[in-house]
Amino acid sequence: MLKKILILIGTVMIMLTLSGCKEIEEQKTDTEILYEIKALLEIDLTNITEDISIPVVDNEDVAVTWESSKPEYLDIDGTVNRPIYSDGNQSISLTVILELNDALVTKSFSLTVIALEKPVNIELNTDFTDALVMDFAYEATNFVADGVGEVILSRCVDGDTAIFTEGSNHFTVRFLGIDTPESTYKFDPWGKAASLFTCDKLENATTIVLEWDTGAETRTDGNGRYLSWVWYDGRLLNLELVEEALTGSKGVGGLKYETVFYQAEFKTQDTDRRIWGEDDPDFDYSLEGIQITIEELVTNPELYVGLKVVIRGIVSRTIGQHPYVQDGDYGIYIFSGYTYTTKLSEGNEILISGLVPTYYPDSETGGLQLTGFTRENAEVLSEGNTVTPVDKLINELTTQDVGSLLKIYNLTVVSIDENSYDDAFTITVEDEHGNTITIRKDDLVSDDITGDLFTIGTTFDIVAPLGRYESNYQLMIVSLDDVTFK
Amino acid sequence: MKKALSFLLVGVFALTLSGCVQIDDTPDEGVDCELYPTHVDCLVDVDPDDPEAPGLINVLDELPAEDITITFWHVYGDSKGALLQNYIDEFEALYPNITVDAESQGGYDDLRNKTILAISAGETPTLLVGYPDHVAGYLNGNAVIPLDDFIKDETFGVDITDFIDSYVEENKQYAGGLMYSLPYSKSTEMVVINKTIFDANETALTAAGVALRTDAPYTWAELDLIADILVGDGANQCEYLINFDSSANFFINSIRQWDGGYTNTAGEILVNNTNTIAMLEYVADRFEDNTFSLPLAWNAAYGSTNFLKQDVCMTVGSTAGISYNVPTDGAFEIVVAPIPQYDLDHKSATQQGPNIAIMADTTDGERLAAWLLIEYITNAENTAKWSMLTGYLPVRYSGYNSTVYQEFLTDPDPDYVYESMTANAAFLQLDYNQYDPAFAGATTSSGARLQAGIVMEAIFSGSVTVQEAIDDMLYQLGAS
Repeated sequence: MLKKILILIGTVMIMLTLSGCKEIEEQKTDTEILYEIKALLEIDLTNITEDISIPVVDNEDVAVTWESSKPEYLDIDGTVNRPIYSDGNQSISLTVILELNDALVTKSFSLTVIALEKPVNIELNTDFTDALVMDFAYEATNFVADGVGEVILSRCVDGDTAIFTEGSNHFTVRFLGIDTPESTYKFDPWGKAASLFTCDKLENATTIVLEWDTGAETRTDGNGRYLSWVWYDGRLLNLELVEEALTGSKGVGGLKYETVFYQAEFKTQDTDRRIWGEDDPDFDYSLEGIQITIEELVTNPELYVGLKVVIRGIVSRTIGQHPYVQDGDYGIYIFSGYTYTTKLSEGNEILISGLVPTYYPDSETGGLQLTGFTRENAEVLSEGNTVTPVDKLINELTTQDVGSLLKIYNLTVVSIDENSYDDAFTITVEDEHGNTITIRKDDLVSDDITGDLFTIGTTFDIVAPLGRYESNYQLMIVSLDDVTFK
Repeated sequence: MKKALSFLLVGVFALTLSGCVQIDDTPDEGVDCELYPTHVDCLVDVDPDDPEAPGLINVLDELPAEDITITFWHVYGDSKGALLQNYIDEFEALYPNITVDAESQGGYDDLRNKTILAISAGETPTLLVGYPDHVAGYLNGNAVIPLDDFIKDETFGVDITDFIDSYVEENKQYAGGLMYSLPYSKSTEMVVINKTIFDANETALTAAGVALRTDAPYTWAELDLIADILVGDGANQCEYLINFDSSANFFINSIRQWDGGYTNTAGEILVNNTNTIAMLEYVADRFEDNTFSLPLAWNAAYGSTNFLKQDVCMTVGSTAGISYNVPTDGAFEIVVAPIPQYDLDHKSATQQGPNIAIMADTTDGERLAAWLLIEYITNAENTAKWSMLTGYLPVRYSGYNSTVYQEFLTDPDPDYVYESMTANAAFLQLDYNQYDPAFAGATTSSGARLQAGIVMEAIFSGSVTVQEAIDDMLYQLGAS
């Protein structure tokens, strides 16, 4: 009996429920209908590489509108255009808008269109440089006086610096809007390539014109170098270096060629060439380098210039905190940069890795030195050592002696040249045979050494490391204790 | 059978109830927040202090298995760039399917200009460093994403309370109070003091009550007393007492110390008030008697060269620039102290240095990879190491408290003694670090900062009166 009653109640309730649901369905709002449709819309894809099917809404009363946040990559009909590799994968919102009378419901799908593979070895081009023309006259003007003028190359320095001549003026120019990798006091990847590129263009140019930019705050930088755009044979070298992927733009905001520099840089960055993603075949990427003796380095410099080396020796003398390091009869100067360290004190035996031999300013006129010093790469092996200087005659000196601590006897002062602007001075001395050499007191050396101590005819013995400047040897005096007056 | 009937009844009731639920929904109006959930207009109801992730962006449950390449734009040169690359190499070893292309874009202005162009061209990097006003500008273009969902994510989140409070505040000053960037490479200002000259005048300085100290800031009144002793052309004197490298920071921070007005996040320029004018007149007098100086005195961008020449006895500059003020030739000794304060009731030190943000035009996978990189380079160990090697400051308390950093503060390697002094001075200022409000409307905070520096330089050069300088600043900023 109970079973029958339960079945009856159940049957009645089901009928009531179904009829109730029908009544409710008939009363559905437009919004509810749209949400039911929305729930059925699916795109079972996330990463897309080819055209997709767009879901269809089977209700003629509902207005359906699709929107793509990036139709250039994924259109509302499902057409896919994969981005080029440099644009990367594209995250796209594909949104459907459902409208029924006054009701509106949206649904978004997050999809990613996968970029095309990167092509191999994209060619660089100089389209922007080719198209840019000089819009000023220079024939009747002077760069130093007027900001625009024709000049003659005096000497290359590196990728973004050169020395020019204008009339009787010789001056250094720092190229505006760029900052090429270093290749002089230190080596960076692509620094040598940038330096060679710049020098090649300037040395082979028929006409070189400098153009200052009134948007630059000053005529010169903090080191007294003129700031300039550099035109060679009608081409803007600064811009060409950007397009050759040998530098990015730097400090170009507010300058005359800002826009074209940015355009050129973006285009070039996309190639991933040279500084934007290639290893420099001329750069030593090893962290420490090979350990060699100083003798091996200075007698075979051509084998090591630009590579990383590990050097061991005793600090014989310092100028500022830049040390001369000696091992036996051979020594070398280390440009230690501007970071404070206690490791390079005189008498310290040191082992330094990651150093890069280079000539400063060049092999023809300057001397071999080591760059790339970091205090993290230096280890002090012992302290309180002394270096015995090597006895030399002036006429015996060779480039292999540059950096060594030498002792030269019986020198007599023949002239004195004191700077008016700092404490540095140079004196010229001759030995008993009439051979001459200069003695240089750097402004970083103690002020106890003054020009007054030396008068023409003064004779003395001296201990000093040897340097080379403008193709001439010079003894770098460090301490009065190294001078024995006769 | 009873059970089957019971299930049937329950099921029917459940079906009935669900069928009768009214759906409460309002059609979208204005900005489509489903399409653009991070648009500023869609953030009004988000509570940034809610521990739950706001759900503004999609944080993947796990890092996708496919290769992901992200591009990181920064401003670091060879030295800091190489250091950053070390961290990236370590990161890539941890996540072999992530490749990070780190590209230096020049200086901060270069980076900002290029980023603005990149936004227009749809070729932005994945993440980048930048100042708050940069991020505010990018946000105007809806080009950066809030990081709150990452911060609060159960799997990939970070304890934001571990980040220095004032750095967090700076990074949540944007619309909706959300964090569109995370602190990365922060710095402040310190004063470097020529200890050798102070020592040579120790008796007179002590008698005047202004003996050399580094554990607390000098007041401006004390600087007057010191100037009476140290400014001059004697053997142990300097032409100027104290240089301020950043004329803009000098202006802005001095206003705070004088309780004057500068700007607000709405972009209002508030400098035309009694306290600001009084401060500038006070400073003008100190320019006049060589107590205060700017690099303009030597036609230089910074005062470090002339500090090393002992033309000036003290110099205020960025903690990240300490190496430029160290006399590596041993010509004299230095110490580092907190920057001077007008008085001790309104102490203020400039908080500066870039933060790091993720761009909007990125995929979920790229965003997660970028976030993981940010997490890595700001973790306790790496923020401490980065700080010790660069002069920047740890962005996390755990970085400050790490063993290696505490040793650096208290017992540094002799080669890092000056960086340690700098960090100690910065630590003393931590409680009163303040940042510029960032805005990027018709007037930008960077424009206001530029004009602030011009005001100081104009007053220093003596070419204008204080009121003329203020009026010109207001005119230049369209606020007159």
